[in-house]
Parts: sequence; C-alpha cells; structure tokens
Amino acid sequence: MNNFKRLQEEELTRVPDLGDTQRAVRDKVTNMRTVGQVFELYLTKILDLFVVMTGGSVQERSSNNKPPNSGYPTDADGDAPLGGPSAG
Amino acid sequence: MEKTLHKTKVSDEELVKNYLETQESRYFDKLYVKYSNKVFSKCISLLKNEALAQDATQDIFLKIFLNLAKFGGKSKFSTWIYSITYNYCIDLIRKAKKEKNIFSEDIENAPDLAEEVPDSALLEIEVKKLKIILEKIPIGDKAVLLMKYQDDMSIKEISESLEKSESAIKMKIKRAKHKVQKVYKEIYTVRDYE
Repeated sequence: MNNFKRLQEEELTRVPDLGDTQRAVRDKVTNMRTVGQVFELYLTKILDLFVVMTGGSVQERSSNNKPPNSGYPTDADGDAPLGGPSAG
Repeated sequence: MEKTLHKTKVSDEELVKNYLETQESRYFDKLYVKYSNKVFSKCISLLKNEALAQDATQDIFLKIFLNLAKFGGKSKFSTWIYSITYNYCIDLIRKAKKEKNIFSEDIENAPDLAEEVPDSALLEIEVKKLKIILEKIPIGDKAVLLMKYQDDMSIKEISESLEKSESAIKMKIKRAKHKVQKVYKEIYTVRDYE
C-alpha cells in the first residue's frame, strides 16, 4: 500500500455517518422513478395536448397510431370519426 | 437471490445488473454502503468543507443511480464512480472560482520538465506531510495524482474521465509531481536544516 492509499485510509476513519444522505438519495431516486413512470403513462395525452395547442388535430395523429383490432367499429369508407366509436 | 447477496461476494457489476432489473433498494444499499465513504472522502479532500462534501455526496449518488443504465462495464464500477466524483467536484470548484477550466494550463506553453520525478520519491513521502503538500498544490494537479496513485486509474482512464488527451494527462501528472517535490522542498528541507 502506498502513502496515497494510507492517506485515504486515514481520511476514511473521519467520515461522518452518511445514513441521512443514503435515505435522501434513495427517496429521490424512488420519487424520480415514480414521476418518470407517471410521465411515461400520460406521455401520449401530453403530446395530444401539445398538438392541439399548436393547432393540430389529435384525431388524425391518433388514427395513425391506432393499433389493428383496437376494438372500435371501423367504417369501410373511412368516414367514421377516428380514434373512437362513431357518434352517429 | 437473497442467499447470493448475503452468503457470497457479489461483484459490483452483478449488483448493478440486479438493481437495474429489479429496482430493489437492497442492491442500491449495498453499492451505497460500499462506496459512500470513499466518495465523501474524495469530496472533502477536494472541496475542503464538510457540509459541501455531504451535499456533493448526495448529488453524486443521485447522478450515479439515475445514470446506472449508462454504465457499460467498459471500466471497473469503482473507476466509473470515482470519475463522476472527480468531475462533479472539479466542476463545483470551477463554478465557484468562475474559472473556465481547472485544467486549462496550456500544455504546449508549459516549461519542459526534462527530468521525471520518480514515483518512489512521491510515494515515500510521509502520510502527514503528503496531506499538507496536497493541500498546497492546485486542485487539478491534486485530482490527477489521486486518480493515479490512490485509485490506480490508468492514463487512458484518467484521460477518458477528464476528456483530455493521454499525452496531456501524462504531462499534467509529470508537472504535478514536480510541484509536489517543489512544495516538499520549500516546506520540509528548509525546516529540517533549522
């Protein structure tokens, strides 16, 4: 062991209890992950809102992303409102 | 898994992998317990303030755990953690001093130091004296010396960590060793004759 490492060993004996820091980091990581998950969950809705705010049409965008067999009735002529059941 | 964690020695890389897969806090705790003291000790050594070092330790671990997925395993986990620690502290000092770059000394304009200070001369300095000398040299010099002699980082690892060329790091270390020798002579050689 060289003296740089001995110096570190000596400094390590003077480290205070870092339990509070550990809890703070753990809580922050958990919170950030939760926020991230919520954000991910509502990302499409946030994007829709953004599109509407910038003057776009949410329905058109949704229709492109609509998965096949999404459970909604389809109109063979493509006239039915997209992204949800027909109102009429 | 419980058995593996407690009865056998689990590598850092496995702990990282397990944490990323399960997000269980016990893996986080293991890594934290293993490295927090060393990270704090580096922070206090560079920042010279306990409260600042505690805040820095918290921020560094937050950074580490939020970027854990980016740890590619190219280097040792300890090297990765220490790189983040040094960069964080250097950045903090740089901002406080409003210096553009702590490593900005132009290598090309630096005086050519023909003679290399041998490692042995540096490593044989008494711990107490070494501590005092390291307080007296510029923070950038101190950081590269700690990376090389305390953390066993290779020139390549230091250069990647500080985003400098390998030749620049070699020169930086060479100059840092000269500064240590100079400060040593200034403080101790004169005193020893008194």
